[in-house]
Amino acid sequence: MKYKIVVAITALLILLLMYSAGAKAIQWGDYAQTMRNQPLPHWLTQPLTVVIPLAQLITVACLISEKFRRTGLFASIVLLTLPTFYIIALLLQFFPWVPCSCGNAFRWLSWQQLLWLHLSFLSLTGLALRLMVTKRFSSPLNVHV
Amino acid sequence: MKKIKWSLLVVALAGVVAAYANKRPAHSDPDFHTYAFWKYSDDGSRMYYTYDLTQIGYVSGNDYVCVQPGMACTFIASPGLAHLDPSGKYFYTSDVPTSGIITNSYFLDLNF
Repeated sequence: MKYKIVVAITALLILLLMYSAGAKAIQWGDYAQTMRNQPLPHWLTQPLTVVIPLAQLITVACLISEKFRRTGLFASIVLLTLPTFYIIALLLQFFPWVPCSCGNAFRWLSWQQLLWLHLSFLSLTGLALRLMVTKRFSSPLNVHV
Repeated sequence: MKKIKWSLLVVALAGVVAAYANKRPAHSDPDFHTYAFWKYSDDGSRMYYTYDLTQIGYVSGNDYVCVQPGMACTFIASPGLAHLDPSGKYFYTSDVPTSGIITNSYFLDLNF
């Protein structure tokens, strides 16, 4: 049962990350421009433009593999936590302006809604990791994690 | 390869398909923007408000899009140009034309 829950959460994470990375790749111009307009220094946004989708793809690869699933879940925690703090900082007006959220994969969501989305997935990922570290967890493929 | 769950690969593929299906619709003219100058902000940036695009014949979702959480509207062609100020009513950017509204390539001076 625990294994099935972990696989279900993993599937949701894969869907989220692939949708996000796919949207970036398909509309790279819009995505790159949105990144340029974030209230962050250019020396940071330029590498982030490439690093974020790349990290998402690597995380998905880890999540798909039974062997590296736990690594993938930890990477997902990082990938979800960093934007969560960024969104909180935006909403608390730590930056000189609030960019529109229209360039990202979930462009129909407001920053508040995006924050709830991230928090929900963070909770799910935390649950999956917690289930994985319990002693009685084992996959049907006999990969003990 | 036995350690790969193939159903998860299908889910990954579904994510890409969803991203493609949700692709932003093509815009009518990528170089056409409509902004109205409002004032200079505290940091010296020019602040703009959006023109009522429906009154000049534009179709929401086709020629322009209103972005959340504010109701600032911008063209789909360059959504990244819209920067909402904390009030959510106006936006400012250094990338838009230096003055006025551009309508059919005609430059109107709206600096007031």
